Amino acid sequence: MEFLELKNLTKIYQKDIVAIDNINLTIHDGEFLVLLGPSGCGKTTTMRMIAGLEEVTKGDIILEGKRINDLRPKDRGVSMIFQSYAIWPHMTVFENIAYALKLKKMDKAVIKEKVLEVAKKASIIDYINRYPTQLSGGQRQRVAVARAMAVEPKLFLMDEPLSNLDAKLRVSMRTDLKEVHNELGATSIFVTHDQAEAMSLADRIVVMNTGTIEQIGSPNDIYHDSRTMFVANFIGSPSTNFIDVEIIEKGGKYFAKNDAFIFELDSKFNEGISKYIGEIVVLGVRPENFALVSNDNEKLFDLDVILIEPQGSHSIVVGKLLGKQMKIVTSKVFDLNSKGNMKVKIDGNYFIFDKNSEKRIY
Amino acid sequence: MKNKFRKWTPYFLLTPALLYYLFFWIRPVFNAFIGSMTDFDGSFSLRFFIEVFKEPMFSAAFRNSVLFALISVLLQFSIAFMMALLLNKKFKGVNLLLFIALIPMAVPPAAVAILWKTGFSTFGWLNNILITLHIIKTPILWMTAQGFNALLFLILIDTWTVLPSVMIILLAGLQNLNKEYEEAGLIFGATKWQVTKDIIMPILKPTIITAVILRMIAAIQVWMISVMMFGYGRVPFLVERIAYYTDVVPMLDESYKMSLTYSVIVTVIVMVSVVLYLQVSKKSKKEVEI
Ligand SMILES: Nc1ncnc2c1ncn2[C@@H]1O[C@H](COP(=O)(O)OP(=O)(O)O)[C@@H](O)[C@H]1O
Ligand SMILES: [Mg+2]
Repeated sequence: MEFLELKNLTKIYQKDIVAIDNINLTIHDGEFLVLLGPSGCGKTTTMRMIAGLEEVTKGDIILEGKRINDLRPKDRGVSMIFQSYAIWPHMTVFENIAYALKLKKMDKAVIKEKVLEVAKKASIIDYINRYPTQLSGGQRQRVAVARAMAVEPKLFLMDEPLSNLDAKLRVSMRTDLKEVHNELGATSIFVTHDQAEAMSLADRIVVMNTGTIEQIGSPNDIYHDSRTMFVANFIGSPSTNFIDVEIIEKGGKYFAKNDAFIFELDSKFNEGISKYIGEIVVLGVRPENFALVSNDNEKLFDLDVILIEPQGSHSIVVGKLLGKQMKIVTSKVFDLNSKGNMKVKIDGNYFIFDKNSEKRIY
Repeated sequence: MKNKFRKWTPYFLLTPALLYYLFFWIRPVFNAFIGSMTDFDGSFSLRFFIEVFKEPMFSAAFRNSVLFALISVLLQFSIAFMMALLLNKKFKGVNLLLFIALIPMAVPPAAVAILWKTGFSTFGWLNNILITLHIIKTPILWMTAQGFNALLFLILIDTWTVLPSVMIILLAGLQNLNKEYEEAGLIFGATKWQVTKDIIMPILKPTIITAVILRMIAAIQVWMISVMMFGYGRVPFLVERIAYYTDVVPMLDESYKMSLTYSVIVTVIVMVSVVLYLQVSKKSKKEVEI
């Protein structure tokens, strides 16, 4: 039995706004699943349907084998960390955490013990009697986490919980959230539009785009084995470079050719690429899969360098090829004013995409 | 030099408003207090207070005003709050419903009385409808209602009139509320009723206090609908007595003094009620302690 299943789930707002379009998704017990996608792709809607805050238009939500479509939010055993935190302003930190336990008619002493325990875990024990207005953003976030933990849910739902924090705090909070998840052994669904956050937290990532699922997989799968141009573009920073090329065949070998270069494709593509001969396809190369070379024999093309973005441990070389911007990541350290041409070759993995369907060709 | 000037600028700018208050507000109020506590010859005397308290109409007016204020505020707040909760939901036709709910606001009080008076007269439209619908056989004599029934009758009419204004204040408050507060409540185990009671109402408290105080003041000062419906003296109220002494019997020697005294009494009652209410609502905050 799967822990949570979404079957043909569809959400239509106001008769014609299709927010979620027939998605299927299985969530395993104990995993940390991240819904990732640009703003407006339906992440929040998906989460709200699971929580019971939004009616399902079509399809089923099955939790531990039981269809929960029509269950009230409070009967689903989920708890949620909202984007705005939704810490009740008229209650102290203690009361905020205790409220759910009080509703369960738990004993006062037990409540107190439980609240103090989670407050300690979330490092907010010092502010336990303060009101939310007397807390910083990071502290409020921790209250939201503590409140969600206290009810010992089967399922944690988190909707962009870190997006209101500053960059440094966001990174340290995400480590803490992952720790909480590991410690409790609960199942978590985490929504974000930040691919770096998704990569560092997820057991599995679900990449969403306009109400549909583009790809499901581990962070490494999603990154190194992107199935669509959308995923290749959305995941990774800087994102994948896309170059239009024509496929030609010469003596049983396949080549990708454009005005700047001709490049022999790996023989593993032979089967998939054969029906594209004479057609334009898209070559996708991640910035680190280019290499700078010094030798004219080795180079694939010359890159017209516009600027260098030093990142400390590595540099991003921004240049132009056939009028299109390209970004290359290299461990070399450059003078900021380096300009002119650099010799570049492809050194590592690359993808080929169908230009119309934007799907991978294997 | 410049600093000093800066410091006085706000007061300087406020002078017209302050003068206005001094002449048209503080002075008459002060005069009313003085006038109610002096005899005709200007010497200090509580004679008119004693006369007011001795009047048989006073106790009826006092009782009616208090009952009217208590019942109408409670009734109007409860119904208006429920309506606001309903109209705050997003569903089809909610805008039309809001429009209909606001109609009574457009009807001036005098017209309200006429509307209801013609409706409730023995052969008015209400009895007509009820008879046509075979709900009653003979007309009900609404207008001859006595005592508490007459008071209830006025409360209902008043409620019909002011409900929209109370509702709109509460609705504005609700619409400013972060929806996630409510949703967090639902997720963490509260029923809709518990969310309303434990989360929405406490957060909305400043708005609720505003609405209740505005209503309370207006309710203590009710008089016009009573006079319009029943004439003077049938269902007396404190402010109705003021109107009575200034409008109906202005020629009596003590009329002016009596209306001043009633005015002072009403003012004091309003102030005491507001202060008491604020005190009580402040206390209820401590209720949610650990
Ligand atoms: N209450 C609503 N009424 C109408 N459309 C909505 C509503 N909520 C969300 N949508 C639409 O549904 C789509 C998905 O929204 P959402 O789930 O909030 O996206 P995300 O969380 O990924 O940014 C968007 O196009 C949004 O405009
Ligand atoms: Mg969202």
